[in-house]
Amino acid sequence: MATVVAQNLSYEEWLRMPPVEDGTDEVVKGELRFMPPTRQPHAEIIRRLIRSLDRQLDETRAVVFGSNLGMMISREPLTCRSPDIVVYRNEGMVITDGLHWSAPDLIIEVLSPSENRRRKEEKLADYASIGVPEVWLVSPEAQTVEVLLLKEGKLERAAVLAEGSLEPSRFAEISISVSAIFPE
Amino acid sequence: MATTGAQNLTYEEWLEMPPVEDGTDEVVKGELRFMPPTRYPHAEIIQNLIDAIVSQIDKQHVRILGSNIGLMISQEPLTCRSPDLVMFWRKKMVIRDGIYWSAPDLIVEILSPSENRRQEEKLADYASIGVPEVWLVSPEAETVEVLLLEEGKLERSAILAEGSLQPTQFAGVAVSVSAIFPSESVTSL
Repeated sequence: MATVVAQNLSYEEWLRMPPVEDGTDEVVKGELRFMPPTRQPHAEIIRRLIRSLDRQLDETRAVVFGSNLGMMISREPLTCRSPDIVVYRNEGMVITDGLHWSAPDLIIEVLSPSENRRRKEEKLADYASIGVPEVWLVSPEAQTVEVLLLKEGKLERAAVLAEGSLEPSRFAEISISVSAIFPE
Repeated sequence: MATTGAQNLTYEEWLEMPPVEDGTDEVVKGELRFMPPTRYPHAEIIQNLIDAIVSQIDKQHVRILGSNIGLMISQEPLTCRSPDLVMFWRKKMVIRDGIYWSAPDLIVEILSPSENRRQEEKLADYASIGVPEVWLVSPEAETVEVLLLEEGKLERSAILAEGSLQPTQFAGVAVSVSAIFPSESVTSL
């Protein structure tokens, strides 16, 4: 669960702030939120996904980030999200002030009891607003992956998978087995 | 997560033990396990299910229980489970020593980080006594996995994030998936 620490932040004020030491920050409509450090099994699931994506992607054409990068949603009011995993095609990637200003081609979020499916709605609306074409919501509890695809400006549920393989629409070279994501 | 108490319990020893005060107990292969009291949103979800179902059933013939009944799996080795919610046809209910000895016609379990989908042991127990249908509700994913008994195993039949749940043994009962989960206004308490 995020803790709110500042409100009505502008982009310039936020850039001047010192980096967060233990954890991550997000800004939502000018409100700075600190996120607690990642817990298990969250971190293990992210590690498995990144390893699998990294092995299958051609690094001259695409890149995976799992380091909670700053992804700009809007400058006014200031909203900058920090997805668990993002995958970009190299072409068209825009980085300014160390922040990503272009929409990733795939975002993966791992759910938790405090960041459950319902609490992700706000984030999904932000991702849809910048044109993210595909989002995966991974549930360690249900051991499922919900796949959402952008349709007419909204990220809509396309499937909930408990088995089989995940094949991102923008990356034909990738196939990830659902059962390989979750630790024993 | 359950805490382990006594081991190698027999049915008779277990019956003579004083009742558990705060929480519930299960016995698995003679090992007594204490379950912590039900937490939010677990309890809300069970109540929402009962509210949705109770108006659709004839109480003379069907019983719905959300109070962690003792459900006997086997006397030797002693295994007695305590499902989150059960539905029975009354004519098939067998109760002895305050314990339920007949298989419910539907069991609902609410998942949690410590009791996640990977726990197959309980499902194997339910299959062993012939439970025809189990629903696994995930508050985190806001989904319900429906499992049906097939050739002695409870096999995944569907995972629903929307639409309605229709238990095979209770024709006419339908529960909307979206009605199960507490609204965000309650969640933020």
